[in-house]
Amino acid sequence: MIRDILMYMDRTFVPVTNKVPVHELGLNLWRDHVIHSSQIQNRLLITLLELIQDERMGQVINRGLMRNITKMLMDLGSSVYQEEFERPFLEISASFYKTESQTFVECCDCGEYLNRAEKRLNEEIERVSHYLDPKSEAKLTDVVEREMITNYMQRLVHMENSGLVNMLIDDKYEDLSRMYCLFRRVSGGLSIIRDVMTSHLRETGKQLVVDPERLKDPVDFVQRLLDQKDKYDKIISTSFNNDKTFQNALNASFEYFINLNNRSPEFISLYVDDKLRKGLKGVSEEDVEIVLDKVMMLFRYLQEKDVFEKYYKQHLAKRLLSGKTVSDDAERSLIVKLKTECGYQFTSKLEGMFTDLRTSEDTMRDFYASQSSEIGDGPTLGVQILTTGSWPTQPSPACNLPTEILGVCERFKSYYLGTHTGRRLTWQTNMGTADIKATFGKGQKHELNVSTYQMCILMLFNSCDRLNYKEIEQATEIPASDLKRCLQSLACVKGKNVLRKEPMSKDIVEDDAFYFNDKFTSKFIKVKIGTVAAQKESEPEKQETRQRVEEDRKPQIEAAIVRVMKSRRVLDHNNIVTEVTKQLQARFLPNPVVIKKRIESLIEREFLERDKSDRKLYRYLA
Amino acid sequence: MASDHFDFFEIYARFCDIASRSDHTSSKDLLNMLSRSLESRGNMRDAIFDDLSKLMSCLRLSVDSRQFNCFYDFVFFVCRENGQKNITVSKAISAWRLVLTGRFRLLNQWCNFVEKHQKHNISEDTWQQLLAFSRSVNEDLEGYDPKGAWPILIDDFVEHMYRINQSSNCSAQEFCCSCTDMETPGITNILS
Repeated sequence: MIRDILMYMDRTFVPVTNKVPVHELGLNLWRDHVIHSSQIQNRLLITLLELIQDERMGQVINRGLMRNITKMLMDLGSSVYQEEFERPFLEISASFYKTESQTFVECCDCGEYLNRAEKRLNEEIERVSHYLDPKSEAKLTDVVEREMITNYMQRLVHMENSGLVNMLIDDKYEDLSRMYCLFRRVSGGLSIIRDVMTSHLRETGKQLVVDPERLKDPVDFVQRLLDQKDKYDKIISTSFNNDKTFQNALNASFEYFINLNNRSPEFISLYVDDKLRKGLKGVSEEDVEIVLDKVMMLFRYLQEKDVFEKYYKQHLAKRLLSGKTVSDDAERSLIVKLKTECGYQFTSKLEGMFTDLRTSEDTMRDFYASQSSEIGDGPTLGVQILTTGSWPTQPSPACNLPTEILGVCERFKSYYLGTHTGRRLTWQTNMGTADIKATFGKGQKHELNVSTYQMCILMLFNSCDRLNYKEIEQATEIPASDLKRCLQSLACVKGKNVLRKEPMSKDIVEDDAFYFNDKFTSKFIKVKIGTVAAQKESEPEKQETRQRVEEDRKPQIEAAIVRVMKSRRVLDHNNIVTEVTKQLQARFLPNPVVIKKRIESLIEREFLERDKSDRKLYRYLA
Repeated sequence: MASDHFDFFEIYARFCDIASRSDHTSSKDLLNMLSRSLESRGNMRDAIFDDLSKLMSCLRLSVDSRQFNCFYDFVFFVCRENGQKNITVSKAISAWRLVLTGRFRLLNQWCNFVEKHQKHNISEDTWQQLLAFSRSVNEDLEGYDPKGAWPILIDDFVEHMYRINQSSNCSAQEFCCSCTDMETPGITNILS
């Protein structure tokens, strides 16, 4: 009102004489005489702070009054608000939270502490929105964060029995997400969480992959890895806001510990094998895809992808040849995934295997169509024609087939070679299976599903009831290790012991004798006699596979060296090693010593030469 | 006999001449021709070391000279047989003992090591790099750079020497590394 009355003066007189406008003058007078008066200044501040203290302790205060007072201080200019209220307020807040966090941290576990800290932080934010200058918010939260979080981060994370590691172990999603949100507010907070998570992951992962107990069951081994991955994926997605840096830390940790165990590639392939043989029966297509995707994810962590390929090929071949695969679609889907991951080269041979089987089916159909009149009652032959090179076949001497089989085999051979000139057929008797009918003591009939080797052994008992080991070995010419395994599964497995062994021991020795077991009974008509197969590779087999992998790597490394040198012409040793490693790491991690060996070999074969003046430099010789 | 020596000297002179050329492909052809003419002299497989030592005494080579480089390469060149690229371990060792005596402090250890651990022939690169190696390291293998692009055989030798030095340090057999007889039981244990 006063301003209205003096408006004219304000407009004309004040600007000309450089006087202070009336409204401002009023405010200044109010500031100097009331707010800064020695009687009021302190009392006002103390009252305000006490009110806030009361509210912090849980009492209800008159927020309207508070708002009016702070508003008044703000109207008097931001410096008045800051000097008269904000600065002391922040100081007292700091000391309040210093003591409070001290008591909290003494008496609470980590989760509870975070809970209370979060509540306090929210209260302060709410306080600002109700009766303080919005500009104070950042300053105030800074104080709370510093006092309650920054000062205690390490202590909280490492708190015994309730710290970060325990939260991770017990899947405390809420606590974890609270920790994430609070720690994110302060600098360096997230990296503390990430570092602790990483080291915990690596520690547990390492224990998992090097634990000799776990190595006994490859499927369980991989399942545990997958569970671990699932667990942390869920933690990161629900509690850590899908933070990319956390995901990267997770991936790096997995990559680190999976490769600590050089059997990981084999085990992952065995896991797939188990899933595709039986694990996925009756599972919907989407679920199959999920499992396969998870496997691919582990695959990506592998450094030695070529070793996986080797095993995968072996296992796939066994699955395909024994007709054990649950779903062709699943098989194909995985191959497509491998192809997108590693390119055409990686899978071309795997695809070749599928093609072989399809062609074989057609060939067999044509064979029987052409021979229908002549074959008559003989055994039905199913031949799978495998292209050499596509399959992981090892040349093994063919065993002596029974004459019944031999006839039809010869017939097929002449038919096949008649239609495909210039090819060569060799029988891989170590890979086949046979269904044979057998009649036992009381006249009960069973259909036995056995391997080709086992079939050859059993057929011998058509003509006599007792044979000793030597006789069987001579008659069949099956390699000793395979023969022992076959006999073991025919005579030593309960419920499938169609042969009887003397003496009755678990292991086969050279002077054992075998009898046709006419007391054999089984409640099934069809009896499947598996070979006591080594699921996991034995030590010598492992060595052999290793060696083959190393051999296969040599030309790849040489090719990479030549590629690098062809484009660079001149390069020093260490750079070649780096470049070659980079080129090959999609498949495996080449050993620098091996690379050096290959370079030496290339020098010898005059693809490269050493520079005359700088011996560390190599030149490409076109 | 005398004319034979003259021949050998001449071949060496021609070798040095060819080696100093910069054109890679033509010098290769020339070397092949030279190698054939060397071979046509025949009956010199055992005599070659005699020839070499005579040549060496005439040349009076200093350790670091370029002349010695050429001579060193020449030794490899004449040690090859039937146009092979490599030379056998036994020949290489004899040749090393002939030309590097007094020029490589670890010569004895080196030859013993190669004799025991190298099954394949010695390649030209390994041969040449040994000279560079003998010049860049001292007795204690100081100056060896594991990232120095040395041939594997040299890397292995260094590692072998480290191991021997280490175990001899702790087992008080202080003179093992410099002892000439590698067959002492203490060393054999370490190697196995």
